[in-house]
Amino acid sequence: MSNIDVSSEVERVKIGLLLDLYGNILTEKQKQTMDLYFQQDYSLSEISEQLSITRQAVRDSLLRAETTLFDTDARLGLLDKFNETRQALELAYRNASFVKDFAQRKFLPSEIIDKLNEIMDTASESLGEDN
Amino acid sequence: MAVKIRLRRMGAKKTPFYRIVVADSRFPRDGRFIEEIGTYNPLAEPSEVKIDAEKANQWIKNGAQPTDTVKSLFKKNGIM
Repeated sequence: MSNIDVSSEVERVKIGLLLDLYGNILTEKQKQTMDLYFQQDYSLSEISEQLSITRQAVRDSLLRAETTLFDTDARLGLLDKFNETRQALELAYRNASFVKDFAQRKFLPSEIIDKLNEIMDTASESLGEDN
Repeated sequence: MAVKIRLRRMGAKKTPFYRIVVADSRFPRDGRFIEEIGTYNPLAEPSEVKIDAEKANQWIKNGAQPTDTVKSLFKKNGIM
């Protein structure tokens, strides 16, 4: 496809995030083909078989969807913002966890520990991690 | 009936997590697969790939076809 190296798992992750962020502006058909191709790792011919459309139609759908995703991100820049936020939250979590260890070792008041737990919970919730 | 090894995305929105799965090429898309042989976590720092090399090699020997992405992951991690 276009300028995307689909054999690269890193490129796949990037497209996946673009789909999370902007997927709703794609048509249903584009969403479906993009999902099968990039998230489920099906080949063009497998998708064409599964959706009973030509291989060329699958390719066209993917190319149009990619263009939409990249153009939209060039204008809105949510992917960079998302990555920045994620890094900031991870830093907040690490620092809160560091201070919490310290606070526990020094037997600081439980209010402090509670607040630190709150920071860590909020951060990990926003990071979407279950653990 | 062809058996494929794919990199399949799991995980919620904005928290990508992938499994390397062995699946029939004609399986419908209801998430069924034959076996999981690895994972790829792009959010770990640095990103983390775990592959059960023994199972991977066994499946390849039995004729399972890895996709290009999986092939490249296998190569980077010393399989094949």
